[in-house]
Amino acid sequence: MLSQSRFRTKTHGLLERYGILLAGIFIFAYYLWVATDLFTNPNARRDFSGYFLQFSSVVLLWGLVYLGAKLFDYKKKQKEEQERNRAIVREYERRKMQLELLDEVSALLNDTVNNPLAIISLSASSIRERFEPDSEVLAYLDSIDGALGRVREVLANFKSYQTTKIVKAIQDVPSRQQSAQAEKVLSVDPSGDIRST
Amino acid sequence: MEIGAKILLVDDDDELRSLLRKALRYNGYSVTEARTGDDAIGKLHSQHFDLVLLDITLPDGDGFRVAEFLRANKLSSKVIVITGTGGLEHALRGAAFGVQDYISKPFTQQYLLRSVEHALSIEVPN
Repeated sequence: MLSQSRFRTKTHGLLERYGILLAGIFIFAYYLWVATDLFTNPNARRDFSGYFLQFSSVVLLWGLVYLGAKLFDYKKKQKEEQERNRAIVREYERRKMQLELLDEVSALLNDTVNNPLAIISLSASSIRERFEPDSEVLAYLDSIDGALGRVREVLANFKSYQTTKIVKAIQDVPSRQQSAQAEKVLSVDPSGDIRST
Repeated sequence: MEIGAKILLVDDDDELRSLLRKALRYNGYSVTEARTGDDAIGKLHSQHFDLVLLDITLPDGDGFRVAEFLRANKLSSKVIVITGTGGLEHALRGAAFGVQDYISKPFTQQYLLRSVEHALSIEVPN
């Protein structure tokens, strides 16, 4: 089973690489065979139709080879196009996963970081308003506020980074033509997920 | 300032809830606490609150469920949404449920009190 498929792959590879040469050799051998009669009876009288009929099968063979080559070429192009479309789908899924991961990290950051930040911020502001802190305590509170501001900035930068990534992902979406090609190998689930076929 | 106004504080973070309660009580508000959405809905069934301070991320689901309950039952309690994500989506959803204000974590006591005063002063047409 394995050797059969290996043989088929090898034959296919040979045809793909030396197809035209093999067809040429085959046609030339056939031409020699049909021409034997011409060489063995060189003095026989032949008109145009006689010559044509003698070599009509060669013409037919050339035609068949031409059609075969075209078909082979068409299939090859179709295969390449499918490969390209699959690559677009893979890239789309990769970016989708990246954005989902970014979204999850962002949500996790917000959930886990913002609550403690709110506690620190609320505590510091409560100390300022409910007590009468001296200048030394006020300096410590200022440090807390400064640090809070820095963390807020980091979070804001992360959000901005996330937005930039999303905008870039939208901008990098394959062109309409590529998308239309991709649709040929894509199917959409009822859930809205895109699958490669 | 509407001193003595009854506030339902809905947040699953015990420490944050405790701080919010202290800050609100210190400023003269009467505070009842709820840790989950179901707990909050249960308390809203049994008594009237002037304001609901509502965290969006709750252990039993989306905090907007509580805002939806208020709207569906035509309860006149005002709502302030507290969110950690600070996204536009939450603000829009809040607006759809008719919430009075939207606070993004982290916030200061001053900011919180200003928002509470503002929400309580809004006249809601019946």
